[in-house]
Amino acid sequence: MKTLKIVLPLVGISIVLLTLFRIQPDVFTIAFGSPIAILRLLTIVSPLLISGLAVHTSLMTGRILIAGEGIYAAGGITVALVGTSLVTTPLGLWFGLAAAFAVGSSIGILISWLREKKGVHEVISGLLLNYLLQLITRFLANGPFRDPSSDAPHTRELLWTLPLIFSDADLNIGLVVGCILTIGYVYILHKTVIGRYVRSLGSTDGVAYVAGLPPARTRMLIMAVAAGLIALAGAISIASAGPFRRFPADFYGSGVGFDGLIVGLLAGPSAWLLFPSALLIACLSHLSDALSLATSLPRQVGSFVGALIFIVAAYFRYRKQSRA
Amino acid sequence: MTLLPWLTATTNLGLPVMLAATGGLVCEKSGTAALFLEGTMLTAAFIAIRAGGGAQGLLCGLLAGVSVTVCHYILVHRANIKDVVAGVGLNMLALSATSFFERLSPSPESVPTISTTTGTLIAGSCIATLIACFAIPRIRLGLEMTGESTLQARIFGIDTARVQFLAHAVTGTLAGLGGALLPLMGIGTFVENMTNGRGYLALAALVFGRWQLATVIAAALGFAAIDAFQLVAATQGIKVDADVLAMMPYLVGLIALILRTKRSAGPAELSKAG
Repeated sequence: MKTLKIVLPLVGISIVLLTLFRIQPDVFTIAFGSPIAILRLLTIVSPLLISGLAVHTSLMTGRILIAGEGIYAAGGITVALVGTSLVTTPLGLWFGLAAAFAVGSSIGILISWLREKKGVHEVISGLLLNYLLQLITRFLANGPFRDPSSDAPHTRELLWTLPLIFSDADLNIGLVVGCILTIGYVYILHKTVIGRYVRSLGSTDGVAYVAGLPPARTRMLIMAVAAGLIALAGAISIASAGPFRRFPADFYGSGVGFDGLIVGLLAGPSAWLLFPSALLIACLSHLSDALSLATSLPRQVGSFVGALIFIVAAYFRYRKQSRA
Repeated sequence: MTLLPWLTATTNLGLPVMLAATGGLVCEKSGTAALFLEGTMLTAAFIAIRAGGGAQGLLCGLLAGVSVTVCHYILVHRANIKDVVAGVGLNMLALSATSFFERLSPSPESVPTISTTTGTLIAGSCIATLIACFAIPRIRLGLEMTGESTLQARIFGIDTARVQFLAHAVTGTLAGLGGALLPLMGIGTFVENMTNGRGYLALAALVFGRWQLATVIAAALGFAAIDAFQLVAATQGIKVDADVLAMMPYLVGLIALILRTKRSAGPAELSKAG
């Protein structure tokens, strides 16, 4: 059964890819046919890895962090505002990144507090917060903090930015940060006692409670860190030298939050699967972009297939135990 | 500011949210989280316009709503996927599928619409039927016992699978009607993500109303009144940023959840589902 769980999805994906390759070989040339194309793929992987990691962390404690999309935007606007408004030295950038993490963590604490103390499901509060954060960030970038010298609605440009790994493809240091965080997370989750207790929170509060970890407080702490990480990913995207350097009013809707949900769910109980899951979802997004370039198909085909993968992954990874 | 445009906008926006919320109430009373309301409404709105609007659009939207909720029933009660995850998945699928098909071939720009009076009559008769059904002890007891504990309900001889399936079908009917009424009582066409979180507002109304029909309806209409304010504000010369007005329903929804939620208010099977 375990082999079947891995083999069946791989067979399905292979069939889809082979069919696509037979019908539209150009799509693969556009998507993977050059070093720049591969680097662009890694640019998509970078925030997905951090976002997927954050979702995975919350899933391990039996909670779903669904507000990723809004938190990603909140992190982006925080670094843009702190970096431009408060301090005009390189320190402003680092303050901005720290502030983005703090803002993300605060949102995570709010969601978790609502769940643990008030009984409001994190999905309901998270989705309402998504809409709220979308409108707040758009209002700030389009209103009080709009760059007056530009016609397009965005904040002022950051004076100091994070370096790029490859400037040709706008690959920022988010990939390195994501890899380091994931390796550290895999180690903590699978090799330490704390990791084992955290994993036990996903099924029962008992083990963690006996071990001296208060379940509600531990979940709040983990949700805070997870949300902080997504905000940091958003901040890194905005603060990197490259396409952004400023927060555009339409930044929300990049899909990082929802795709991170699929990545976290696909990885299941094995944290090391976060790497291939993020790569798979990034490939899907990259392929759908290439497909829309090569044919007249809308690029939404990627999110459509992503949603189908989410449901299939949920079937294999997130099933309830029989209650009666 | 005159009240009539606001009341009309509240009715046009409130009826879909109210129908979805009452539909969600039936599903949650049977012990399944109704996270799929947003996706159900969106699919119904899309199909209602594609079917040509008017009465046939309404009927097709209703059927589309039932189809989505039956899919949810199969995923949750047959494939054993957690209800929250299945709901989120269906919402993602509905959003991406409707956006994909809308980009592939845009919806007609104008279809026959339904007047506010007709919409109110349809919604009113649905709610009246629901109240009448709730008044029948056998139905109410079967639903509530299933929602409190499926195991105990089975011991008492209740066919819980049937109750849950029927609850999903009723939810699909109401949320589908709500979704179809959204464009048909409004702009008469479909735009991407046109429900714009109203399914989640219906859920917030459900939690805020503590799963009681009258309070859920009142909460849904209250959220709709705040939502409608942004539509009439511009025409009434109120100079507040559109984004600030647009965030009000979500902000109020969130504050309402913080202030009013009581941990033990919902059906017991819901908290077990996690």
